[in-house]
Amino acid sequence: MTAQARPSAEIRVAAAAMGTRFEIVLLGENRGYLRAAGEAALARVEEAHRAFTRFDQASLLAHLRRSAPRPVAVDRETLAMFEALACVARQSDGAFDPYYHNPAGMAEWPITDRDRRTVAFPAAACDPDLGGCAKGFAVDWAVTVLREAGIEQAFVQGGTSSMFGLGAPPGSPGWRVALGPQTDDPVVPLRDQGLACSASMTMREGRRIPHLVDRGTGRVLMSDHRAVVVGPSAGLADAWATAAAVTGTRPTLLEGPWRCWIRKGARPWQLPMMPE
Amino acid sequence: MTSPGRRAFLVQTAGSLAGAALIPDLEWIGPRRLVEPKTVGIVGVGRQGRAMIAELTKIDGARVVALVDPEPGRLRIGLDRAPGAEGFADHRAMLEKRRDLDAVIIATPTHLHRPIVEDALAAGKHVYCEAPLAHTVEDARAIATAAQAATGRVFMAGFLARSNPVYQLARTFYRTDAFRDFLGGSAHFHRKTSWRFPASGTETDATANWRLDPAVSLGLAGEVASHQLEVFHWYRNKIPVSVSGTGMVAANRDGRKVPDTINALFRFDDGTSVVCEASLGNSFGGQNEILRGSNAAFRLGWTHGWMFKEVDATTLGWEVYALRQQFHQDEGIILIADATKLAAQGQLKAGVGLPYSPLYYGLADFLRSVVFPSVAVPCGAMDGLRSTIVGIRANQAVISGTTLEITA
Repeated sequence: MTAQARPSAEIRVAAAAMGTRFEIVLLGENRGYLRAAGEAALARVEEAHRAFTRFDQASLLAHLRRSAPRPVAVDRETLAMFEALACVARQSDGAFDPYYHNPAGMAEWPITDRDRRTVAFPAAACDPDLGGCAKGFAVDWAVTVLREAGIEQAFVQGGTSSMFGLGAPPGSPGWRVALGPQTDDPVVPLRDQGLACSASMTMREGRRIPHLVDRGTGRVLMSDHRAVVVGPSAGLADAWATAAAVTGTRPTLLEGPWRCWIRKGARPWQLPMMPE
Repeated sequence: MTSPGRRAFLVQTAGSLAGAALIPDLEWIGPRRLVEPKTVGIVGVGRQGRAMIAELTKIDGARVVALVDPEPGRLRIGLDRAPGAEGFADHRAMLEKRRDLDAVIIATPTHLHRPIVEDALAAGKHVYCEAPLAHTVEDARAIATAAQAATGRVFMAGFLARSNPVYQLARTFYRTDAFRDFLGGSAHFHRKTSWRFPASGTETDATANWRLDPAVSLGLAGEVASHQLEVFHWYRNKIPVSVSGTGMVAANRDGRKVPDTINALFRFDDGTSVVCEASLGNSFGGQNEILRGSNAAFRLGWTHGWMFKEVDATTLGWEVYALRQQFHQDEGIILIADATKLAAQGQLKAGVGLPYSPLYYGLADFLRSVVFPSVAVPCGAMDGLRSTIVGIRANQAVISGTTLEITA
């Protein structure tokens, strides 16, 4: 049984995970089937939460720390995530870097072994804060579950900062995502694409406070940058959006299907095709 | 629980258990390591089977070398998570080809357990069977009989409370004056879910959603509450003599017949009772069991546990060191397994919750007995049979809305 192209039913399911709210909207024909598929996707999100939370001793992350420096067998998706994160960290020259740095300033990245499908933390002190990017990968994995269930039209979001549009609603080029509350904020249609946003400042009790650290200087970023990245993976988009928010510039290595929006302070959004 | 075999099985990665006796001594809750590698095949790689793969990869010496699932898509997902494992569509093909297997772990739908257990035992394998053991008393008895007849082979039923360090710790208090007389208890399971699964690949909707098929499903009473009632069986060393039940489809009105909201009252021969309520329509309260004694009450939530003392109960020496948590007007002492060691290290707070999942401890206990067959598993065939029968009778009571006697 698969969802049909011209949907007659819309189902919305949600779960609390990774310190935020994940939500999935599904379009199709059979309400019961859509809900079952949505719940299966949310179960994958909850599984990712249990694996990567820093606040649960029983998480895979905690197990990797306890096992350091011995390698730990992991599933294919987890291995790919650690490989991708290391790749973005290198390609962004450390602008995105969730890993512990030793006193000499050298990053202690996990060692991945594709043949044996293992990950090894170099030391128990290797305590990555996967924060937003784990949220993005959880969105990607939820989308995989939906695809395997034959769902063709769905929107998955976590914390309103990581999302993926699967297919598109009827009569629309994609799932429309506004980059802000103002009428002149850009609206991005997502069709089989992920989107992630990151900001160097966050709102807390009505005040804007610094939110990111520049690994290069070790200082809290005082600049007010916002970055949005769209591409084939919400997880990678999350990592690249963090890098762009740290530097305030569009990552030069983002090419092909990737697009990046930057906003500095109150200035207008720099659209993907605009020069820096 | 402590035995020389178990001690030999465990390789403790930290120092001695020196320090003031904050709580009764419990076994180390840290990583388990097999002193000799054991190969495992898992039959059924749905959600539970995949969770088992994840936990087994954390046990040093446990090697998942074979997976069985008739649905190719699900099997592929399972193989993605078990590096080096070989896939099979049928458990007999696995038993035929992988004669090197030490153990078979069964995580199929409940009504499919019996032939797999019998074939695996006949092939000389140690067997871990998910609980409840079967959907009929006849099948459950046949499984228990086969397990008992399989001399030299380990059989464990997947009722996990007995392997859970938090529950083991609470039980040490249960057996003392800290708890004193059992007055009654309750079991709660609340989750907002359809309990429906999307069919995978070649699978039919009916196959994927066997839990919603009244012909084979034990419903919430059998599939969920039986695990919670097993806590009471274990602590009390007895099973209820009768069960009354009611149930209805309250939240998921999609044509299903299996109730999504149930209540059941279990009565014991001493007049005490346990109330069980389960619902798939509201998640408040989650999953927990409450045991009330004349000196204290326990609230047990699988990875966490609390003890609520009566004000007139004797103060225990270690209480001054204990961590506490407020629940509205009640203050619970957090039950921390291995607290003696953690307190000695000044890391008591780090012990809140378990470092591994309850499933991890269950599988580790099973493999310990595979290494040392003379060491009994926490939940063997007869304990598994009794708790399965309680679950089957409870489901019958819920469906019929009547009171039924329970005889094991």
